[in-house]
This record gives sequence, structure tokens and C-alpha cells, in this order.
Amino acid sequence: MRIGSIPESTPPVELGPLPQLLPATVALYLSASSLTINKSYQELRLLAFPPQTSGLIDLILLATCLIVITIALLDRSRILHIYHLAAILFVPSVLGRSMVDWPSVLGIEGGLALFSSPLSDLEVLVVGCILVGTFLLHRHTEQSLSDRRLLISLGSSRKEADDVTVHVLLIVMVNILVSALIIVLIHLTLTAFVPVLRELFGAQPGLALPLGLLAMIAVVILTKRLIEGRPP
Amino acid sequence: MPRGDRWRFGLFLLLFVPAAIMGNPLLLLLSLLPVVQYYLISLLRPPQDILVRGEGRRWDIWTGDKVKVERKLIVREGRGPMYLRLDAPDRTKVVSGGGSRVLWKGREPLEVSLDREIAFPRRGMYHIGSAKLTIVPIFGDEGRTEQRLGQDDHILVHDRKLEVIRLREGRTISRLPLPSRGVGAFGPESTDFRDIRKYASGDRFRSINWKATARAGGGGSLPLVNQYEVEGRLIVIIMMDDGPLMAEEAKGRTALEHGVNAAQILSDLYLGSDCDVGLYAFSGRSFVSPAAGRRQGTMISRQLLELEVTNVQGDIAGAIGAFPDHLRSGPLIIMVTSLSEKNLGLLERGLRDLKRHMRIEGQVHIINVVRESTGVPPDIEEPAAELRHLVKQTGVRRLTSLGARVVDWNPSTEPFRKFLLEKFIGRG
Repeated sequence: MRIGSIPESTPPVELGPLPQLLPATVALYLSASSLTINKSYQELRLLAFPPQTSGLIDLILLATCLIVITIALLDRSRILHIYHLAAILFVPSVLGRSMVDWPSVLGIEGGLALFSSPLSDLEVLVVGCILVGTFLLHRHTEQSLSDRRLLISLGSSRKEADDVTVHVLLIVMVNILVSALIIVLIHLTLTAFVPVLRELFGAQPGLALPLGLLAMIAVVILTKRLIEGRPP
Repeated sequence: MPRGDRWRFGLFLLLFVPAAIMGNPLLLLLSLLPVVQYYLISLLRPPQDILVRGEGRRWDIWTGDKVKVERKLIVREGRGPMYLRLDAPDRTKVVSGGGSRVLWKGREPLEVSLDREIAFPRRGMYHIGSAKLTIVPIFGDEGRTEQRLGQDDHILVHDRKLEVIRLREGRTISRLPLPSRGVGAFGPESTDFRDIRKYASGDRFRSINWKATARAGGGGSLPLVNQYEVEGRLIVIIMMDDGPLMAEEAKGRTALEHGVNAAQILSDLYLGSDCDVGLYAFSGRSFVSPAAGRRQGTMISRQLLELEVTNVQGDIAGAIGAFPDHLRSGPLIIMVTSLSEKNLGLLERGLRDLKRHMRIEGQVHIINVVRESTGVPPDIEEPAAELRHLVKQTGVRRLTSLGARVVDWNPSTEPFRKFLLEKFIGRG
């Protein structure tokens, strides 16, 4: 025991990369899966290589994913690269849902139809929510682990620091999960409301969507005020 | 904007701008995910309604005593992590509790005991009891709030003293080492003849010994005067070493702590025996001119209480400047130091200067506080210790040849009371 100061503490034990690597790998897997069934990917397979060796592009994709995961496994600070790769792989799936056909405007043959995918809007949204949600979780986990290291270096016991980290991460996970569920709910509500709003405002989808969002925000604010016991 | 919110806003923009350009409803919904998350975060309230229960008390304790500071932290509202820091003042030992704690405030009210047991090996005034609380936000790394909670206990730590009254009983007082001349040079003259010396300015004409002057002859030289013993008190000067060597530990306390304790007891003992007692720190930073009485005891105690180890080994010859007249009268000098090959030379030189200054030779007792640590690695400890011992013995012999009496005191093996009765007084 040191004189005149806090008791000696054990050096912080680093957690393995698995808790952060697992959500990132799931996000990468889903993004890659959504890409492989995208029309643009299928076209690329046929264009880039002869039909006999078309499986080569799958191998290249798989190898790229494995290399990034291995690098992240060796160096935790590289986990962010998995999210970068997942985001790039996810882009074609989202692009197919755009309303403004910029590729056609730019003179690209095929236009947005090139990015069409057999996935439904809800499925793409769920994959997107998982991608954004796991990324948010990653940032919060980094923050919590950094806080944990700081607390232990300041003399807190490892047990207490671990306990707090677990509580924080649980709250963060629930928070992100609820946020994602709200987004999905908004989508489902809009899907149900948009045809009605389209009917009301003369078949203008561009107007119906913002109106639907405004209606959703109004409902959320109203609910919050009612919960707080204030008049709407 | 806090950093946590900044990157969340950045993510929103990264998704929202392409969504707006391409009119992509899915990307638009995805861009709302960080916004919704931020909204949910704002609904979470951090820990609040916090109080630390426990009144600030006043303690009057002895060195080495332990104090249990009892406090309870109560957090009624909110949810989230809290970082609690229970600092202990320098030169104290946390026996149990204390340190840093990180707590989680869940749904239920939180009650945590912050009891600490602290030992005080050094004298002084201490303030302890309050806690520094940092509320750490669950999301993001900024927006931490810090507050100090609870009242401080005020702890006054005194040095332990022996019961001087008990020591004065019996034959103890008669065996105390005293100045060889028995009396000091101050106070009214008695009728006891002491010496004949040359006339000095201020001498009374009545004291001129005309017969002796005539017998001495030598026309034009100063007349001779009779000198009588004065009815003064015995003068005892305690010299306390406050150099760096006194910072080394023995039995969990520094040599200075043991030395101060010894000096305090000796000062009480001699003051109780109607002596004029003075104090001088080797560094010259504090000194008290010799005087008697309870007030003098308080002054010496205060000076000893404030005594700290200095970086430079002081020179005892500095005492000549502090009380030249008292030293001339041949007082009893008690030095409390820790002898080492590093300070023996300086001590020897200082002692020579003192002796040269003294008109009447006084006694010098050196109490050598034996330290535990040798400050050398174990493999060369034994030869080094032998060498040190030899050098020290030579130095001690030189001090003894100058008329000083060196008495070793090992606080680890013998309490001061035992040392005083068996070694210091016993052979004195």
C-alpha cells in the first residue's frame, strides 16, 4: 500500500477483440449477401470473367472479406475497416431504391434498374439498420472500453469497472435496438400511410413521403407530451 | 457540440445528403437512426439527487492512531455510472476503504458506504471526509460533471509524549545530565567567588579588585575585577537535525518523527526541572531562545510541530549566531540526529566551532537515531554496511574526542522511555 494515496490497483486486463468483431462480421456478412443477389453484381460476374471462371469474383469477394476480418482480428483499431467495406458492399442494394434515376441522367445504360435486387424494402432496411446500428454500437463500445481503462488506471477495482462497463453496454444495446425498431416501425407505418396520403394529395409520392414523416414526428411528440402528463 | 454528438450528426449527414439527392426513402429512414438514438439518449437522466451523509467531526489523536471516517453516499434519481474519488492526505496510510470507486446507479436508489480507516503516522492537521464525484455520461465522452460532496473531518495529530510527571518521580531527576558548571551565565550575581578577570566595559567599579590589580603591576593596563557566580538557571539547548538523513524511515516513521518525539520529551523534562530550555534546528529555520516556564514549553512544541525535513544538511555552528551569549555560558547541548558518513564531517566541524565559542565548556550529548534502511542492494549490503560502520565508528570517535557523548537509539527495538532511563540517564 502506498502512503498518502489510493491503494495499488491491478493493471487493466484488455478484453479480446471478439465482442467488437462479431457484430462487425455479421454486418459485413449481411451486406455481402445482399450484394451477391444484386443485379449489378450478377452483371459484373458475367462481364469481368468468362462464364467458366465467373466464380472467381465470389472468391475475390470472400478473400477481401476474410483479409479485412483477419487484419481486424490482429489489430482491434482496424475493426472500423470492416464497417467501411460493409458500407461499400451495401451501396448497390440501397441505390436500387432511389426515386431519382441519376445513372440515366448521366447516360449510364440501364439506369437504376441495374441495381435492382430481389430483396424487399423492409429486408434492405433491416440490413441497413443492422449495419448502422452495429456501427453505433462499435463506437460506444470503444468509448466504454476506453473509460474502463481510464477508471482502472485511476485506481478503481477491475470488478467495479467491469460491472459498470457491462451495464453501460447493455443500455447502449437496448437503446440502439429500440432506435432500429422505431425506424422499422416508421417504415411500416409509412408503407401503410403512403397510399392513403397519395390518394389524399393527388398521387404525388414526393409529397406523400415528407408528409408521412411529419405525421410520424407529430405522433411521437404528442405521445411524449401525453406520457409526461402535459396537454397535447 | 460534444464529440459523441458530433460523429452522430456526421453519420446523419452522410446518409441524409445522398438520400435527399437521390430521393431514396430507405436511406432517409436510415439517416434517422442516429437522430432517434440521440432523442432516446436525451430521455435518460444522469444520476442526481445525490448526498453524502455523515457529519464533519473534530478529532484529537496521537501519531500512529487510526481514525474511522464514516460516510454514506445516497443517490436517489437518475441512471448511469459515477466515478468516486476518496483521496487521503499525504503522509497518511489508508488502512481500509478509500481510493477510487466506480459505481453504477441503476433503477433503484443507491446507497454505498464510503467508510475509511486511516492511520496517521505523522503529526499535523488533516482534513478528510469529503468525496469527489464525477458523473460520467453513458453516451459520449464529454459533459462530465464533477462535484465535491460531504463535510471534512478535522483531525489534529499530536506526537506521543511520555508522562513527564512519572519520570520526574524518584531518582530520575537527580540522574539527569546537567551542565558541568551547574548554573547559567544569566541572572543576578551571587556572593560566591568564581574568578578574576580583566575589567570590561559595564563592570561595576565596586567589583574591581584593587589588591590583585596592584599585585599584577603593569601600569596603564586594565584593572582586574572579581567575578561571582550568577543565580541563573541551567541552560539546555536541544539541537534538532532536520536534514535529509532524517527523512529515512524507522519502524514506519521517519527519523525526524522519532527525533521530534524525543526532543519534545526532553524539553518537557528539563523545563519541569526548572531549566532554561532552547531549541535550534540544524537548518537554522527555527530556533527558540532558552527560557523557562510553561509558555516556553508551548513555543518549543509549536516549533517542533512545524519542523519539516529540509534538502540541505544544516550546520550546527549556525547556533552561535542564534544564541551567542547562552552558548558562551557552557550550556548542556543535546543533539538529536541520525549519524552517517555523510554528516559526520559537518557535525565534527560544527562541534569544533561551538567548543571554540564556548567560554565555559559545556556538555554535548548526541542522540543518534538509528535508521533501518541502508539504501543499498542486498548483494552488496553486507560489505557496504561494514564499510559504513567503520567510517561511522571513526567519525564517532572523533566526536567523542571533542568531548561529545554519543548514545545510539534504535526506535525499532526500544521505546524512547526505555532508552531515556537505561541509556541516556542511566550512564549520564
